[in-house]
Amino acid sequence: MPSVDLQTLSDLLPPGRLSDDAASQAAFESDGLTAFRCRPLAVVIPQNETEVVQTVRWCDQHAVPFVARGSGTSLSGGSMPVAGGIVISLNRLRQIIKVDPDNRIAVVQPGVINLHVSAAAARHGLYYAPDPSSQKICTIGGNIAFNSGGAHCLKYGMTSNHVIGIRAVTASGEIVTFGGESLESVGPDFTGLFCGSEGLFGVALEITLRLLPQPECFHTVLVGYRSLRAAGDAVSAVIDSGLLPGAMEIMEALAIEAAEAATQCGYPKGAAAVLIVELEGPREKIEAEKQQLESIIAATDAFETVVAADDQQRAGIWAGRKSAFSAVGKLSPDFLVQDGVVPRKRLGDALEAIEGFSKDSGLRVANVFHAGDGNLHPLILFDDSVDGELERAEALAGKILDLCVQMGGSITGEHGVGMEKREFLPKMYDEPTMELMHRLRAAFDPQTIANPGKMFPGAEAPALSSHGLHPLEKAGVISRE
Amino acid sequence: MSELVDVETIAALQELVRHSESILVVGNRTKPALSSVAAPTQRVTTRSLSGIIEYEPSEFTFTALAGTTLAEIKAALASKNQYLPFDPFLTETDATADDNATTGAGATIAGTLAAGLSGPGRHRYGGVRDFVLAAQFVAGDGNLIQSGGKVVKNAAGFDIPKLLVGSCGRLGAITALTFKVFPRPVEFHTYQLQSADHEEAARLIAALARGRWELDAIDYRSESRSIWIRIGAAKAVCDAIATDISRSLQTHTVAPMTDEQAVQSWAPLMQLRFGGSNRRSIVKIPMVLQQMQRLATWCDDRRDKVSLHASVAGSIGWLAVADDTLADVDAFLADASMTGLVIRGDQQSTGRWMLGTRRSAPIDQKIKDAMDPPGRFPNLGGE
Ligand SMILES: Cc1cc2nc3c(=O)[nH]c(=O)nc-3n(C[C@H](O)[C@H](O)[C@H](O)COP(=O)(O)OP(=O)(O)OC[C@H]3O[C@@H](n4cnc5c(N)ncnc54)[C@H](O)[C@@H]3O)c2cc1C
Repeated sequence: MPSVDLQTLSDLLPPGRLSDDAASQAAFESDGLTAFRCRPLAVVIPQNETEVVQTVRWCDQHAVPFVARGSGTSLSGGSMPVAGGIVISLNRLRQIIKVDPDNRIAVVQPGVINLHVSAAAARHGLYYAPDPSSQKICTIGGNIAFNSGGAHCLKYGMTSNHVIGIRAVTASGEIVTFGGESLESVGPDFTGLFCGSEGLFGVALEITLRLLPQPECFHTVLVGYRSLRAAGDAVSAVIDSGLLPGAMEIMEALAIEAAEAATQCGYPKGAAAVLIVELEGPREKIEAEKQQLESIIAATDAFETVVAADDQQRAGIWAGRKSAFSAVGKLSPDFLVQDGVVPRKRLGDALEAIEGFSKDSGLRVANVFHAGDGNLHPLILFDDSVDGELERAEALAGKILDLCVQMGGSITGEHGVGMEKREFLPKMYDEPTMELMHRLRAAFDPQTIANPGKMFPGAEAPALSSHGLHPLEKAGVISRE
Repeated sequence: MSELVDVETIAALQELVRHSESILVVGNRTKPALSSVAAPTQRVTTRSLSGIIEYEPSEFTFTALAGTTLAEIKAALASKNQYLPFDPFLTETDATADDNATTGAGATIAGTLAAGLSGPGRHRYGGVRDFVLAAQFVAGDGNLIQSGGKVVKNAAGFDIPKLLVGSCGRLGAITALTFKVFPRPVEFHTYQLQSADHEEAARLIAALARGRWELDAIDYRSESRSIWIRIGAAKAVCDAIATDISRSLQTHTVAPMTDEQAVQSWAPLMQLRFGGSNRRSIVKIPMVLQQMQRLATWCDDRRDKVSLHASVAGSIGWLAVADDTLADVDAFLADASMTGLVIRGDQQSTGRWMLGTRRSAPIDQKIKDAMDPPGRFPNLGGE
C-alpha cells in the first residue's frame, strides 16, 4: 500500500473529525463477528453529509479503501475495517429529517437507529416494519447495506421492501439519487439494487422509508412439542390453511433451556421444540383467524398450548425467544451463528443433517429459526482455548452453508455475505453471474475502494483473534435472532 | 423495421442477442409504447418461452418462463387458493385491442416485471418489486445470468432481480422469473366513499391508509370524486370493518358495491381501458397525495381529453389520455417536476415514453454498461 498523507484528509475536515491514534483504531477493529479483527489506518466521524462526501472523494483521489460503518453489529464481518483504510463512522448522522404521516414515509439520515424510526412514527399510529433483533442499536444505513430482516419477513419482507428512496455518494464520489417519496417510480429499480450492496457501492446519505399502520391486535400462541418434526409439521399445517401469520418461530431444547434459565419465560416443560405463532391485524380479522388457528394447532401433536392473554404475557413469550441466542451464547465461551435458508419443506431434513454434523464434530449446536421462511439460525458452540475447536466450528458452519445451497436455498437470509461467507458466494452463483456482479460493483466503484474484501471471494482474510458475545449483548442491550 | 422473431429456446435467444447490433425483447405487446424505439432494432418475443416450471404452494413460490401469461399463472395459483397480491394488470385477453402492435393476448409475467406495473393491491403488501425473488436473463453479452434465489428469503449477492423491475428490456432479456406468492383471502369486497373535492379526497385517503383496518386497496376515481376501498376477508368481516370506517370518518358513508358493480368498476382499470374510446393512451405517474391533488385539478379542466385514476392510496396516477394530448401531459409533468411513463399511446407528438422530468444521471449509463457491455439493448432514456 503506498503511503498516504492523512494530513491532507484532516485538512479537509473540521478539527476532531479524524483520529488515527491506537485507541480509536482499536475501538473500531471488530464488528458483531468478533472472530475477526483488523485495525484501520484512521477513523473519520463526520457530522454531516458534506463531510462524508469530502472523505469519500479524498479516498477516491488517493485510492484509499474505506468502510462505511453504522453501529458495527454486522454478524458477517461486513463492517470490519480494511487494513490501510479509513472507517467512516456514521453514527452522528442521526437526524430523522421528516415523518410524513399522510404519505406514510420517513426520511432519515443513515446513522438513525432502526427503533428510533418507529418511535418517531408512533404518534401517527405508524411504524417501520423491519425489526432485526439488534433494532435498539443497529442503524438504517447498516440495515440497507445488508437488506436486514427480522421475525416478520414472510409477511412484510426485508429492509429493501420498505426503502423507497436513497441518496448516496458512490465510491467514485458521484452523488446519486434513486427513487423518491412516492412508493412507485419509473425506470429500473436502482433503489432495490442499492439495498443489500453491503457497502460496496458507496455510502447512503439519506434514505426514504415506507411506514405501515401499527397492527391493532396481536394473537400470540406458544405451543410445546415432543419432537422437532412435530413442530415443523405444525408450521406446514398453518401455511396450508391459508393463514398468513406475522411471525412463526421455532426453538429447540437447548435453546429453550438456556432461554428459560435467562428469562424464566415459562415455556412448556420437557418440550423438544416450541413453536410461536403470532397473528396480527384488525380485531375483526383476528377474531375469525384465531379460531382457525386454534383448530389447526389442536389437530397437531402438541402437548401444551399457551395463548397470550394480554400484552404482558405476549412480551414474556417473546422475551424467551429474543433472548435465546445470547442465553445460549452464555453456555459456551465462544460461538458462531449462521443464517442460511432452506425451502420450508426441507426444514426437517436440514435440522437432522445439522444434528449429524454436530455429532461428527463433537460440537453442540442450538437451533432457533424463522420457521415461516426457512431461515435457520444454528448457533455453533465452541471454546477457542481448546486447540482446533475454532477450525472445527468453521468447518461445521461451512457444511451447513453447503447444505443450504444443495437444498436450493441460500447461504444468508439476512446477515449478509460480508467477510465470513465470501468464499461461498460462487457456490450460489455461476461464473457469468459472478462476473456481472463484479461489473455492477465497478460501475459504482471502479477502483475497488468501498469495503474491499467483503462479499466477493479471493481477498486476504485478516488474522483471527478472540471470540465471544458482542459487547452490547454482554451488557444485555441487544440479543440476536 | 425487421420482423418480430419468435424464439422457442433460451439458446436461440442467446444466439440472437449475440448476433444483433440492436435488440429488444417483447412479450405479448400489451404495453406497446414501451417497445417503440427510433433506431432500427431487432424485435424478438419470448411469448413462446412459456410455462410454469415449478410451483410449490407450500413454499409460497413459483417459477415461470418469461412468456407465461398472467392468466395461466393466476389460474394455477387460484387452484391452490394463492395469488400475486400486487394485482398485475392486463391479465385478460383484450378484445378491444385495435393496435397493430398488440396481439390481443394478455400480458406475460416478464413483460409485467420489466414494465414495473403493479395494480391496486400494491397498497397492502407491496408491488412487483416486493414479490420477485429470482430472475434468469440473457445479458447484453449473450451470457445467461441466474440472479436472486428461489427461496422466500435471500440476502446473498446484489439484488439484480429488483434492478430488472421497470428496466423495459433495456438491461437484459428475461427468460424466467421466480415469485413469492401469498394465500388469497377467501373473498374480496369493495366499498365506495364519496368526497366533495380532491382536497377532501386526499385527506380521506390519508386517514384510510393510516387506519387500523388493513385495507387491501384504496383507489380514487378523480372524475367522480369517489374513493374505492377493497377489503380481503369474508363478507361479514368486511362489512364490520366498513361500518367502523363510516363511524370513524363520521360524515361519510362507506357504501358496499354489489359483486357486479365491483367487477364493472375494477375491470376497465385492470385492462387500462378506463378512459373509454377517446382516451386510449395510458401514462403511469408516480406521485404523492399533494401531487395527486394538483394532477386531478389539472385533469378537471380537460375532462374530454384526460381522466385520472389514482391508485395505491395516491401513490400511482393512471392517466387515460387522448393521443393528441400527450404533449400537454408532458408539459404539465415537467412543470410539476413529475415523471410519466407512456404504457400505451401514439408518441408521435413527444417521440418518447418518458414524459415530464427525466433522469439523466451518469450512474444510470454505467449500470446499463455493466448489464449490457456491448450496448445491444436500446438506451434507458426511452427515446
Ligand atoms: C445481537 C445481534 C442481533 C442481530 N439480529 C439480527 C436480526 O434479527 N436480523 C438481521 O437481519 N440482522 C441481525 N443482526 C445483524 C446486524 O445487526 C444487522 O446486519 C444490521 O443491519 C447492521 O447494522 P449496523 O448499523 O450495525 O451496521 P454495521 O455493522 O456498522 O455495517 C453493516 C454493513 O453496512 C455497511 N454500511 C453501514 N452504513 C452504511 C451506509 N450509510 N451506506 C452504505 N453502507 C453502509 C457497512 O459497510 C457494512 O458492510 C444482529 C446482530 C447482533 C449483534
